[in-house]
Amino acid sequence: MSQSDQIRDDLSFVRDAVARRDRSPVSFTAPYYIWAVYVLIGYALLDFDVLWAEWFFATAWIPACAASAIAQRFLAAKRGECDRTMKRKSVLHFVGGGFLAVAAVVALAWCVPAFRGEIPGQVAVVLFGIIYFLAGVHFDRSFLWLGPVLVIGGIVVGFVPHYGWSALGIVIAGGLCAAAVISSRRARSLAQAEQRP
Amino acid sequence: MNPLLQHRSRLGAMVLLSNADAMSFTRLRELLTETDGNLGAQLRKLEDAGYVAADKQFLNRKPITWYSLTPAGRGALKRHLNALQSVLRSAGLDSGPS
Repeated sequence: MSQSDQIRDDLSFVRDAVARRDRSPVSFTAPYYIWAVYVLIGYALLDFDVLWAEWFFATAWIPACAASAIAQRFLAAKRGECDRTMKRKSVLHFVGGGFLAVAAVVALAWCVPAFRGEIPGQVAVVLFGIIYFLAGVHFDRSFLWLGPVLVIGGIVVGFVPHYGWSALGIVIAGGLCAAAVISSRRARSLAQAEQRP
Repeated sequence: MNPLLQHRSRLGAMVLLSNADAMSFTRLRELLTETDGNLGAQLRKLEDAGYVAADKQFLNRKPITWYSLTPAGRGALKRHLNALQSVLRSAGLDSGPS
């Protein structure tokens, strides 16, 4: 075997290993369920006690973030791959984007007198919809359709006379669970395809 | 060309590690389809050369050895891949990026 043939053979081996990795994508779905519970409780509270809902949204994101981080760490260890760059990107996207959205809504409510009542909440949901949609572009394709659902839901909830927020919470939580199931199934089917001879 | 990276398992491990912050021994073994003994020996050679760093941790009381590429390893890999490309180009086998 000539040197160039040997190199080609070795590179083919390396390419197969890289392709094997690409065909077994990460499926970190536990955080989706954590945030589904957060959304479900928070949005339901909005229909029953706004003050409690505000407290919930202001504080519960901290344990939810901590639980998501622990779950991701555990899953990364279980899978055997640690991608800190992706972790940093997703934290910046969701936490940074979330903070910006909430800060923008609070600032608008403070500066514009007409921007009161349910409108700030609706605008926050629309902004989160855009954050979710962009997460679909950059991280997980399941969010591509969940983002528009949030945007539409944020607008439509203003026209629903009773329990609109609870209904929206159920839709978003259901969407997150569906995204988790789709993501897991996709990863599982790719893994099964990999195992086939 | 770097003689240490002329072994395909070592080259494969280095390329895989260049695309991740860290990978466990089990994950590398699964992707490279190598045996425990062979992969362990190849990784030890890379570790001795200072190209990869190993870090032992525990998950549910089970040990996990994480491997990551060191800056020296990243540089060596880059130089080696450039040399490989030159060899293939001179043999008229380089079809460019595919």
